[in-house]
Amino acid sequence: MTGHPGEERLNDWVDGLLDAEQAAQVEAHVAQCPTCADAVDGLRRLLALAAEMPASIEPPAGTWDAVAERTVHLGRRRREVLFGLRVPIAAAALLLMALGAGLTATLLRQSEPPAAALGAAGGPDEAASMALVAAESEYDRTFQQLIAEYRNRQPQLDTTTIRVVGENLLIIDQALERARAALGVDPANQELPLLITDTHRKRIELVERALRLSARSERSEA
Amino acid sequence: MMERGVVLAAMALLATAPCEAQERRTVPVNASALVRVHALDGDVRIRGESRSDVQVIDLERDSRRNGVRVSGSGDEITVEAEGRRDVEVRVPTGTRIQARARSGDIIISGVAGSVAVETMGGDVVIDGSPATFTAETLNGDVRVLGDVQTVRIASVSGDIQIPRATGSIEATTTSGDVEITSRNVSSGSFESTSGDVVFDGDVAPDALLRFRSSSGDILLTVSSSVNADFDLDSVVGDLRSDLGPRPERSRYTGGASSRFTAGNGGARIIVRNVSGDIRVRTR
Repeated sequence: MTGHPGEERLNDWVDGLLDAEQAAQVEAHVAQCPTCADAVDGLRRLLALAAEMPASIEPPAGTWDAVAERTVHLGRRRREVLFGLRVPIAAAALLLMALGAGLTATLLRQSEPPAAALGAAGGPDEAASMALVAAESEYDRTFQQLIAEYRNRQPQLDTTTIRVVGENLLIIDQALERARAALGVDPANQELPLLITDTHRKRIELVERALRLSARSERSEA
Repeated sequence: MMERGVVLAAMALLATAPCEAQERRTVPVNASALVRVHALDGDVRIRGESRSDVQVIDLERDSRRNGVRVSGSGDEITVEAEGRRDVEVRVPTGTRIQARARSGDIIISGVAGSVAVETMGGDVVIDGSPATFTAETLNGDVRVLGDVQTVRIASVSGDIQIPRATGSIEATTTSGDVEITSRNVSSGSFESTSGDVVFDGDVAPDALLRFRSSSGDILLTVSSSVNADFDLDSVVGDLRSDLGPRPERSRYTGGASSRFTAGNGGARIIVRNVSGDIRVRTR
């Protein structure tokens, strides 16, 4: 195998979806590639954390699509976090746990009278909320590291780049504020934690992209 | 933002540049060679042709010195253009392309191998049917004119237009607009934070299409006989759909959501927005 296997292939290998020949190729590569080995370790840790989430309960009719949809989101998030963004594994784990708790809360609400689950102090909503705050903190920590690097590089950047990055960071910050405000009004909303963390992802990607593209332009110019 | 006329004019300019003012170099390469083209503020045109070499054309008039460097041969060749130097590179159809520029535009046509492009502010236009196409820009716009089976585009403020979308597509931008005209897209993820996302076209039977924005509007136009499962949710914004039941209003946020099956279902269309509106129209 030449080059790295790629995120999809590594995911499929960890998930046991490759045939014997493909799996042997990936395994051989991972055995001699520290980068991919790290990525695989991260995936396995995350899967282990996911396995520790509350045991599933039989959802009422009509909720399975929502659950399946969130599973797709989680799969995507896992890949993005681990491979695309290099955000600390703790953020992904916290998010998973937050969503797990939130999802459980949703299922409970749909199988019990609403009053039994809503507003319970220290209940699943509160746990999910705290976990989301912690996950946001992790994303923010990564963002602050990147933005510090960006500020160091800013004197070398052209005015257009600085303007575009500044304007779009503001747009993303406003999107975060909107989503947080909506979550404050509707704390049981299952979409908003995903939207919030997805927006954090975009904010990190934006700065990464600006740094990477400008660095390559500088190299071309040199 | 890129105007269609500007792009067409750029393409025409490159296509009609006078031969006598150009310097041409030819390098033999393998049919599936990797061709790298690095430019700064000049435009790049890459053209796939039935040939067995790479021809590099320095489009600068009155050039007194060599502003375009060419290195490598066989499996890999690199073309580097200085400053505002425009360059045209003619390649065998099957070559793989990696092109980047700073503010220069990149226009690619007729290439069947994989194509990866990066620009800061330059626009990108690709025509033809490369195996895969990936593009990353800061504020350059991206247009995919051909039938590309796998497309992945990421921009910060650039617009993304795919007028004949097919296959698998990911298109994401922060403040740009995303405009897709589908010809049976099988899987797609279309996202903008503040820009609008507009989709018009056919939906493949088992397609999975996701649309997301935060404050931009999302407008989908589909056939009135579409077979798809819709999952629509705007946290704060409005939701209107020509298909399905009346959307449910959130008693907390004022937003709306709707889940329904149109026709026989099968394809899945998932739309998420925060404060922007969602509109599903039929034709």
